Amino acid sequence: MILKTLKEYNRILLLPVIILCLSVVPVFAQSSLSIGVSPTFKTLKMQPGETYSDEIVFWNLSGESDTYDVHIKGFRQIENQPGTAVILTDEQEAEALYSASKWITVEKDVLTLEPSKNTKLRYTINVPTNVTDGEFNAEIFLISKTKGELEGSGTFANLAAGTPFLIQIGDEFIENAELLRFTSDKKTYERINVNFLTQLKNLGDTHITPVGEIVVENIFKQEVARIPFNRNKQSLLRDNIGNYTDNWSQSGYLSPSKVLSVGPMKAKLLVTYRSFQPGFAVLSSEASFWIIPWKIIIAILVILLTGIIVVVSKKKLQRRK
Amino acid sequence: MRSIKTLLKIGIPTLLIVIFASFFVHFSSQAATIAAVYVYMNRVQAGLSTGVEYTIAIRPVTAIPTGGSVTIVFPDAEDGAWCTTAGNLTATGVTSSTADQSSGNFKIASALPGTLSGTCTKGSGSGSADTITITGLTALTANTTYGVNIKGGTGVLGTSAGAGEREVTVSVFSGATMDSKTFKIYLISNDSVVVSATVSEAPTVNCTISANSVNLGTLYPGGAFAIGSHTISTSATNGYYWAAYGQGDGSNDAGLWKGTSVTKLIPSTGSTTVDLNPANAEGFGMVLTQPAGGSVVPANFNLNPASGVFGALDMKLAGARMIIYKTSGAGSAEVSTVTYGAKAGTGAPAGAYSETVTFVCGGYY
Repeated sequence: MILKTLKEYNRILLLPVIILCLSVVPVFAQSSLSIGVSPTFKTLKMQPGETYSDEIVFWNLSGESDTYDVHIKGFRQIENQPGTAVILTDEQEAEALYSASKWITVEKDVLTLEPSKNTKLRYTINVPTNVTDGEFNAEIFLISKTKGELEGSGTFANLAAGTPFLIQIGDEFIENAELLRFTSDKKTYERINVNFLTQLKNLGDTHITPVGEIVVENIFKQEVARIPFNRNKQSLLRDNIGNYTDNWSQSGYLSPSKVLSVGPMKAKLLVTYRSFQPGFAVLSSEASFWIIPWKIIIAILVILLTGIIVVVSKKKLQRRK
Repeated sequence: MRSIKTLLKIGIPTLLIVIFASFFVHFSSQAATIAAVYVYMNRVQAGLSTGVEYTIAIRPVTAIPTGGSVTIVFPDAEDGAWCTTAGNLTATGVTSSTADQSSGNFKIASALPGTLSGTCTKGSGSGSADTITITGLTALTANTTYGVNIKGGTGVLGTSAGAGEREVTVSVFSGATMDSKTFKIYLISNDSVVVSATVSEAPTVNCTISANSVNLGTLYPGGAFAIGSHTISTSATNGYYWAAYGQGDGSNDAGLWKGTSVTKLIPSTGSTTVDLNPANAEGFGMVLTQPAGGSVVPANFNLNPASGVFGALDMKLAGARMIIYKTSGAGSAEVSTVTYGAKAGTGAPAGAYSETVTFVCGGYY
């Protein structure tokens, strides 16, 4: 009798276990990755034989600790984007003439970032005594170690970030640049939302931080806008090309100084890039485009046409009478 | 002589009657200990000459009739330290205080009733101590905890010098009915902690990936494309950028790689985009949403995943491609959704495929 009752209870107890087993899906471990870094770059002026030491602070705002491999390599810009950095591959590093990676040592090769905690990474830069004048670069770069397992097909994500260093050796540098292109992203616009595309090439032996203005004039040569060029002060590495995008947008067709911003427009770019006497090396170029508020123009034409038809029809009716 | 006799005749009996009657007089004063009392001071630093404020919770054991008063008597030897300047105080009934317990005798149940007025009197020599007096109370019920806040003007209420214990007596009374309690408060040499910090001038960037792995589920050879997503979020003082590259098979291209026999790469072919719509298409790519606030996603990655066209990835560090950037600061985290798309061709062998995408995040120099 007791055994019979127990067997009945067993069925009841087994039921949820069976349901749980049937509802099992492949385990898919996910965790977030987070890294913060300061400073985001460092520019140093050093002399042969000099030593410099400081620290970079990394932090992790996720709820779990993450482990990163520390890499020190020369870096390059990403897709002609000035101010960006990604470390060189081993092959590229072997051929890099201006890599300062061998000058830099860090206290750790692997860094574990605990949640909500600042982690300092101390580094030392030893400039060789026999180095030639010029600008060299390197980046202390962290790449997360891949973790987790996948059941089936999928992707893993790694996170990488670091601090690029621009190290100037010596006191005299050649600052030279060429303006390759200045144009608007379209030839005609209905609304004023113009992107000016500028391409510069750094021909000198140090990085440059070009600054300047884009002055927009209407057909009557009245100034309608003055836009800062490279507002974010993105630097361009030596032997590199940089694409800069500057936006001019305005809600109406009248400028803040009540100048009409419709019709054929001309934009003039003025760029300086030298740190010493920048006014002696100005790059300039012009671009033209149209602002045609065609919807408004069509609406006006329709109203005018309707008015003309109404007037003509009235006159015809009067003549008949 | 006669007058002396008369005086004795009247005086002696009167004196005897008074002495006799005095044995029958009942002293009606009702002094008891307060059931619960606390004094919460906004500052407990010794040697303050101004700015001290009290919140008192008091629970009489006997009912106090209308017209009563509350007094706080400070140590006799510290005249002029607690009442720095004698004068009027502001007394306000309160229904709660920071020092309240969640329940019980030490939780204020009611504001001290009445039209309250307070004064602070300085002690003068032995037998006269600094005293705070609150008058104008209406009737108090026994075993109810009443609260009152006492404030003084500038330079009125202070504390005596020297850290350590001080004995104070709190009384509540009306006529002959009085409850009181003496207890100690502790003054410390410094009750303030100065917290200082410097905000770094150095630019910063914060980069987060919501999930380090994304399951694309089961890909059916020649079937529809599958998608999976996570987010990336960024804040930066001076603009930011993200680039990405894959691993693929390590030698030919990025893409989903089956490393076990028979090996197979579902590649992320193409210089810009991978179209997974054609019947025999095979490939892997990703797209991103453009967050509000002026971030830019390059055109080949700024696509709707439902379209079946995805941005192509390249391989290893050398193939890092810009996927999103912003040339001005981002004070709060700007979030973009990364969606991966993959499709297996009819000849794809069965098995598990994976790709490791490395996201490079940085601030501009």
